[in-house]
This record gives sequence, C-alpha cells and structure tokens, in this order.
Amino acid sequence: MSERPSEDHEIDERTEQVLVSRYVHGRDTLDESYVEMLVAACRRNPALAVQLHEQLMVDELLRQQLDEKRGDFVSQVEQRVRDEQSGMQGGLASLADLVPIDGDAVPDDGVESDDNGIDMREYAIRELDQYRESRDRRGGWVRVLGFVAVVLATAAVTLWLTWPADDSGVLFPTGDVQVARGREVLYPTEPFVTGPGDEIRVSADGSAVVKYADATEVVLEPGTTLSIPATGVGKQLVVSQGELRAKVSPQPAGRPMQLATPSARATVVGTEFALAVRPNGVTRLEVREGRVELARLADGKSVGVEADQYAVAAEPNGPLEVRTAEFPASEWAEQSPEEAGLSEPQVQTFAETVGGRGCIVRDGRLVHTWGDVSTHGPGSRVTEALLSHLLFLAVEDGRIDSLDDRVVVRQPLLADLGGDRKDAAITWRQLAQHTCGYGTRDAPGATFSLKGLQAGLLADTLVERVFATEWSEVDDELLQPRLVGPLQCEDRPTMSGGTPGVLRISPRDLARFGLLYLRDGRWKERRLLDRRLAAVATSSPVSNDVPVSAAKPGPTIRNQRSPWRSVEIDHFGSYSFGWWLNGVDRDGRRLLPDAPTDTVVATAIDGREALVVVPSRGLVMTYADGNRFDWKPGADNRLNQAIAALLAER
Amino acid sequence: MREDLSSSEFDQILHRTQARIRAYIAGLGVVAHEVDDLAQEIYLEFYRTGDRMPLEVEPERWLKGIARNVCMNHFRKTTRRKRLHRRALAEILAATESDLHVASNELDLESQLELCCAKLPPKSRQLLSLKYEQELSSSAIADAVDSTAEAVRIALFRIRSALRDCITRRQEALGET
Repeated sequence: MSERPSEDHEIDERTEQVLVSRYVHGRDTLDESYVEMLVAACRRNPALAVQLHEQLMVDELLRQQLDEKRGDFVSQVEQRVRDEQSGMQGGLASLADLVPIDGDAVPDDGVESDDNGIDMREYAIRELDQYRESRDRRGGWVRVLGFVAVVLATAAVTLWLTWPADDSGVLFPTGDVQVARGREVLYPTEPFVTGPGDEIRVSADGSAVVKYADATEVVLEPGTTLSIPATGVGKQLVVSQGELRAKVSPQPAGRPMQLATPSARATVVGTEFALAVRPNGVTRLEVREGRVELARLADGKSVGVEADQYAVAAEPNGPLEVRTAEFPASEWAEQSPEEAGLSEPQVQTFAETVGGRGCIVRDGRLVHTWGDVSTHGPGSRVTEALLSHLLFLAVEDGRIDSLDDRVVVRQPLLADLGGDRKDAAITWRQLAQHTCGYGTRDAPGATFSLKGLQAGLLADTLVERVFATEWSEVDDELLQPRLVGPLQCEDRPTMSGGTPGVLRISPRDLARFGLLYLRDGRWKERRLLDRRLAAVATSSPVSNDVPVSAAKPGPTIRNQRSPWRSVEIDHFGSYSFGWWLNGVDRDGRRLLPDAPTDTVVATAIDGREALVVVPSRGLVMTYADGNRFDWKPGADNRLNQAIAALLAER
Repeated sequence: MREDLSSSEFDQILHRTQARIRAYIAGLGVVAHEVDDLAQEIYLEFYRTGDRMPLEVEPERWLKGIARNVCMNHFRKTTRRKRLHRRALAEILAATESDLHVASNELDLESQLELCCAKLPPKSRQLLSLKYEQELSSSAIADAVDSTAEAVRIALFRIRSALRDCITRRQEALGET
C-alpha cells in the first residue's frame, strides 16, 4: 500500500474514513497494522465503531441487492434443512441435545460445544440478558426479576446435580481456556467437570477457577498450565507453568491437597496461598493463612511455610529458606547483621567490594548502610527497570492492551521511518527488551542493542502519549501517586529533576523499589503492580538465539533524544525488561555464578550503580557511585564477588 | 421440525430475517465471501434449537444471539495470534448494536434501501454498479472513472453513509406514521 494513515497522534476524520473504507473493501487482505489502528481508533471513538458497523451492513445489503451472481440464499438454507431432516447431517443433530437451558443435565463430559464451539447456553443467556434490558427500559421489572430468578435457579440446580462428589473439580473458564483430555482438545465455555488425566491450559487471554465440593478454590492465572494426575489420593495438581492462588478448605486426614511443580511439591492441609512457577523453573510459594509444606524435588529438603511467609525453591544445592518480609513505614526499621543471619564482616566486605554508598536490606529491615544513602544517585540505566514498571502500569490500566501491541499506534511517526516501514512493527515488548532494532537497520525482534535512543523512545512515548502527561508534571501526576507515595519514599525521587526519563533516587529509596519486586508487586496490603506483570518483568530473558546487533545506524524520529549513551554489550541470556537475571549466555556461562539463581539486578553498565534483589534469601542491596567494573558473566564480575561474600557460609 | 416450530413458521422467519441477519454478520467484520456460509450455519442452528426459544423472545433477537456466537467462534478458529485484532474488532462491533442508527428490526430494510438507491445521483449509482454488480476492485473502478483507488473507496464510503441516512430517515418517518 502506498498511502499511509495520518501521522497525527489523534487520527483525523479523513484518516478514519480511509481506515473504515479500506476495511470495508478489503478486510480479508488488509494489513494487520491497519486493523490494529482501526481497533485503537474505535476504542477511542465509539461513534467510529458504529459508523463502521453500519458501513459493513449497508455494504452487505448492497451486495445482496446488486450482486446477481450471488446464490439464492433462502433456497440454500431450505436445502440444508431438508438434508438435515433426511439425516444427512446426523452427526450435527446431537448438538441440540446439549442445550440444557430448560434444566437438562450437563452431559457427562461437561462439554457443551459442538465442532464449531457453539455454546448454546451462552447465547441463550445473552439473548435473555438483552431481552431483560429491553424490557427494563419499558418498565417490566417484576416480570424480568422473576425470569432472571428462574434462570439462576435452573443454573444452580443443574450445577448441583452435576457437581462431582470426589476430588475432581469443576472448572469455570473465562476467555481462552483449553482442556486436553486424551487426544482431544476441548474448549469449554461453561462449567466443566475435570477429571484425572485432564490438562487445563489457560492462555494469556484467559483465566479460570477450579472449585471443589468442599469449597476449596484454585484460581488459575493467565498463562498457567495445570494437569490432574491419573492416579493419586486427595486433590492432586501439577503446575508446569504459570501461577495459581488457592483457598483450601481443611482436607481429610491422610488426604492432603498436593501441588507439584517442576522443582517442588507443596502439601496443603487447609490454607490460602499463591504458588508460582517461573520460566526458569524456580518455584515461589507465598502463604496468606495456615501452613503449607514445601519440598524441593532435587534434594528432598522441605520447609513449613506459614502465614505471611514465603519460600523460593531455586538452585538445587542452596538453602531452602522460609522468609518473612516486612514493609518499611516512613523510615526503615533496622536489625543487626547477626539478627538478619549475616555477620558484620560479611556486610562490610560487600560494601567494600562494590564501593560508593549504599545499603543492605533483609526481610524488609535495614541491615547495613555505608556512605550517604539519602542523596540521589547519578541516574543511570538502573532506572530502565522503572521505565518497564511504567510500561506494566500502562498495561494494567488498559492504556495498552498488551506488551505485544505495536508502538506505532501511540507514536505514528514510526510508521514511515526509512523505506521499509520496519519500525511500524515494533512492539512494546521489543522496545523495552531492546530487541526492537530502532535506530539500526535491523528488523524488530532480530537483534539486541542496548541503545539509549530506544530508552528515550520508550520513555517519551509512555509518558507523553500513553499517560498523556508532560515531563514537567510526571513526578506529581505519575510517579508520586503510583509509586513514590505508596512506597513512602524518604528522599523525593524524581524523573523530571534532571534528564527527563532518568530516575534520580537515593539508595535507600531504591531499596524500596527492589522490595516491591521481591514481593512480586505487593506493598503491604496493597498491590502496586499485578503479580503476573511483576513476574514477567523479572523472568523474561532475551533468548540466546537473538544476536547482538552489528548493523549500521538506522533512521530515527527527528530530534529523538537519548537519556544514556548506547553501549555494545550482549544480553548474556539474562536481560529482562531493564533487569538482568542470573541467566546463562550462549557459551554456558552464568552471569553471576556464585549468586543464587533467582538473583535479579538493575545496574549501570559500568557497575557504578545497582539494585540487587535475591528473593530466595530475602535480600535487597543498592548502591550508587560505586567502583567501576565490566558487566560480564563470570566469577570476575565484581557484583558476583560481593554477593558471594555476603552469602558465604559463616 | 420441532414440535413447536413448524416448517411454515421456520420458512416465514427465514424469509423475513435473512437479509438483516446476513447484514448483521457482515457488520461484525466477517469477510463478504464467508457471510452466506456462516448465515446458513446460523439458520441450521436455529432450526435445530428453535424449540428452546422462549415464547417471549423475538426470533430475530434469538437468531442474532446465535449469530454472535457463531461469528465469534469463527474468528476464534480462523484467527491466529497475528490476527487477534480482528477478533477484538468484532467484539467492539458487536457491542455497538444498540447504538446503530439503521434499525435492523422488522422494518423492510431491503425495500427501503432500494428506494434510497433510486434517489442517488447517476454518478453514485454508476459507482455502486461498478462495485457491487460488476464486482470491480477499487483500482479497476478508479481506472474506469479516471480517479484513484483511495478516492473511489472514499466516494463509496460517502454513498453508503448517504444511504444509511436515507434509510434512517425513512424508518423514522414510517415509525411516526
């Protein structure tokens, strides 16, 4: 296509007409970027969606009226009905038997969809909802309420009659949820009785709840895969990926509920907890009420995790510790190194190794500080993790539908950069992961390049176009209400006090940000970031299949600023939304070989400023103005040495 | 045929609603050449399950409920990840039904459209003929009328808007009488 939509941020009327008319005329072949823009435009402007709907309807009516080659639709339907009556489509006729809106029992397999996945109850309920609404408008309240009561009662009786009496659960799916049963894959859209051997796959666009007869509930988050073993006593679940939260009623003696992950097994007798499996196999268990036994499969070590405690089953040979994590109030509570299970020499060695000024926090209490921890740091790449945090907030708010949405929807100037329009395909994920190729000749997703220009594009687009604020206002309108205020930071962190987009923050306040991620986005009783998004931030390393860019510089948006200078450095299989995970690079080298595998670090590339979080040990360390060193994998990495010294056996 | 939906009732409903149901499906973004196939599936489902339709529910409303689910399942089955936007758009369009100016109710939409088409200026009727009777592409029409494809698409957009306005006015007038 030679013509492009307008580059204005707010699409003008003419551009809307172009988008609508192109969709009406060629929606089967239309480029996805146009459809994406149309979706965004319709969301912004509901009147445009109405206009599009009516354009499509009139287009179809004109086709019906003027297209003489079109077959006789009525005759075709009548023929198919005759075929149906004569049994030619007998296989499909059984669908009608699966319509239990008048009280029929749910069939044994609980599947109420046909080959087309048509859910008859769903449409009946929707229809009746619409009918109810239209009658409400006419004032028919009494009849409507009576009717709704009948529908609800029918549903309740149906569910009660079909509820499994054993340890099978009933799956309540929302959105895209699949159940693999033998060689069959089912797409339930209604309550579905699960059984041994089933595998429940919740896509990124779905969620589900499994409810048991004893009122136990397991909430499956998007992206979770859970299977039910064919054998076992009591409620048995295997979580291969994703995250679940559970509220477990007291279980019968000798029949505890058991949840297995690739690295651990949790045994539950009655409690409320959250269990997450990270992509690197690390299992994290956090208990709200009661007690859960967590055993590490690799060595059989086990711990009892109680209310407000958590444990992380990370590397096989390290300790398996139960941690409690307090949250600081307006000032940090303190504890001595010994009270924190460390020693004075250990914390001193850490401080001397990294240099500068900083602090060590364990289980939410300040253990050690050195130098001035209340003065802002230099504003280095440490704050890229904060830019990603803002991106995740935008997703959580619904300002951005998905990390895989295209940035061009919010920054139309990307549409026409260069001659090949490659930058129009850049997604938010690629931009935050530095795999977008922006500012190079590389295609989005093809290479990694830690370019300051990319951080600048991310920062400016997020703040000015997604959150619709200005850099001069960003502290008051975004940072304070969404982060700094709830964290009760002490030293007024700012994103507008220096280079726009660069967070200037003191080491002791940066430690609060680290503690937020150690607790998966929770701060006290409030959730500042969706748990799943916090997990995505610290568990999505760039693949080792993605090479470092060797391409020449490419075009950028005019006057594109860069908060940091670009550096040529690999991702070492570890870079994840501004954080460095303790991953393994292409040559099999672990980034921090002597640190726990669940360590995550936000750092300046010259090592002079860093935020280190080690969830399995309850540790957060920050420092600024430290010693320079090369950020590379191996025992020589100075931060690796510092962490090793801190955690050395006493 | 089910006990409480006779053949003659089904045929009557089919004749009365088919044009609007097909327009409704198209309005959700189903591509033109798939509209009739999906509409056939919808009427077959209606035929099979008509006996479950509550007496107080209008058949066309019931049919639209089937249509929404058939179409959403169609998008779910045929759209892969890269085409998720089409599904999202279909959901947006489905949600606009109560805001449509063109009432797709019992009024005879087809004959209203015919009358409105007759009132169009000759040049507009020529464009409609090239597009819908001769099924020419926008580029081919542009060649025929010495214009650009984009200008043709926009011109057709405006013609359809004019037809929509005309139908709406006629429906309002009929409603008042």
